[in-house]
Amino acid sequence: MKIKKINFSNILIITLFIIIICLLKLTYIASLPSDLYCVFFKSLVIFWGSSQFVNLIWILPILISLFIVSYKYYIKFINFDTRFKNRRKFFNKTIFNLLVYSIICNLFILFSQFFIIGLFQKVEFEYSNVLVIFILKYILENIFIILLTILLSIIVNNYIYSYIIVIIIIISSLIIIEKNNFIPYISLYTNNDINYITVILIIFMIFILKKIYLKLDLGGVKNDFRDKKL
Amino acid sequence: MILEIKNYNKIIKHKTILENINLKLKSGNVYGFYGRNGSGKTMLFRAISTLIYPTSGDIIIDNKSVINSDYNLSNIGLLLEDPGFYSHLNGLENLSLLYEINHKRNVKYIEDVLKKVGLDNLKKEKYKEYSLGMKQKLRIAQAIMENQKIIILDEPTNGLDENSIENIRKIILELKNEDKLILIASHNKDDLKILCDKIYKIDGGKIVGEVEL
Repeated sequence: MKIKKINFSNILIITLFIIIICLLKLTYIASLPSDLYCVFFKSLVIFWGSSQFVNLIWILPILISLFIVSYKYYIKFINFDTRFKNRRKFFNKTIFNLLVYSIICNLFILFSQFFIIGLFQKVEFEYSNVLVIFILKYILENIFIILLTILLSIIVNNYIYSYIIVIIIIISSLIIIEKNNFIPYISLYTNNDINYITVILIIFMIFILKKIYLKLDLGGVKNDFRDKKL
Repeated sequence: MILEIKNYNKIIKHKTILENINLKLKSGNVYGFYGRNGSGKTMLFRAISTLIYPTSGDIIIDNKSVINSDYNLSNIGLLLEDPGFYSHLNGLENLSLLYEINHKRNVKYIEDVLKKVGLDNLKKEKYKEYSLGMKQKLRIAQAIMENQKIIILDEPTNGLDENSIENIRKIILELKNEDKLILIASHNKDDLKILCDKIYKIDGGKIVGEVEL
């Protein structure tokens, strides 16, 4: 018996969303810099300009991946399973799975955009060290906002509020600060180097999350299956 | 096995949820908890399974504190929170995934568990296609399938038809004869009367006393 943990209908829905976003992006892609191969591929996924509508189209895939991963793991965290023997083991296993899932989800969203837009623009994908570092940076910065959303959700005990707060922080930072090499997530729009402050903050957030989670009261009306629509 | 709840108090946002709970529960018995909605039955079960931590007091199983040590909680089978079943998988696949957290895959055994709770003829149906009663049977199956020493069932017969209720009662009595410690909360007086050796009434987060229904 082979158990298919992956829900292909969910993947299909996400792919359809990405296709729509890519088609919208294609309208504006001609105005993007395409003289340099890496700059072109970076511009496919990261762009912040003067038109808020264009900015919205570019930030949507990031918000989709943020929602998919953070919501899934917020629900996992609040539904502690006693099969894992104790909270510590459950946390370690869940955080490891979260990191793996974040990498897979972000790679899928990134490469599906490369593939779809590359196909329409007839640009072939080639290996480049700069692009690999950019992909790594993209994943790290996204893991940062995913962990921030989960940490906030656990603290305020509400996922939707936290998700909206994180979106407000991201968008207002991009509008106000625009360019900075050191501020996590904003640096993604500024340079191509790994931001070590983000790496330190990811480790710090995991530490804080663990400290809070091990003392946290879980359950309540929100998690009670009897109150859910079955 | 002896489960002791000692001077357990829980206060959330200045509201007393559980107040001075003292109980000594022994394996081979079924204990019932009876009370109106919001009286604290489910909170007591959450406390025993360490989903919530006490403001003061302790829970001790076989002389080992559950709160202050890394007690192996896989000894507790829970029908309380949503076990997080995958909606696109069938019952057999969902139970197998949970079973494989601590054991090697055993399809034959899981099929037997499904048969026991009355879900054997639904191998191909996905969880999202299950009715309320079928979902409840699957939750019961996950709570009892791993030979846990303590079984906590919050309203086990919720959403079940009469035949299924009879079957679940039979299973609970079999588990009692296997020397399990079983805790049940229910609004169904018949369930408690038929199954329980002792029934405690809870009101306002306090154990009011033993009752005869």
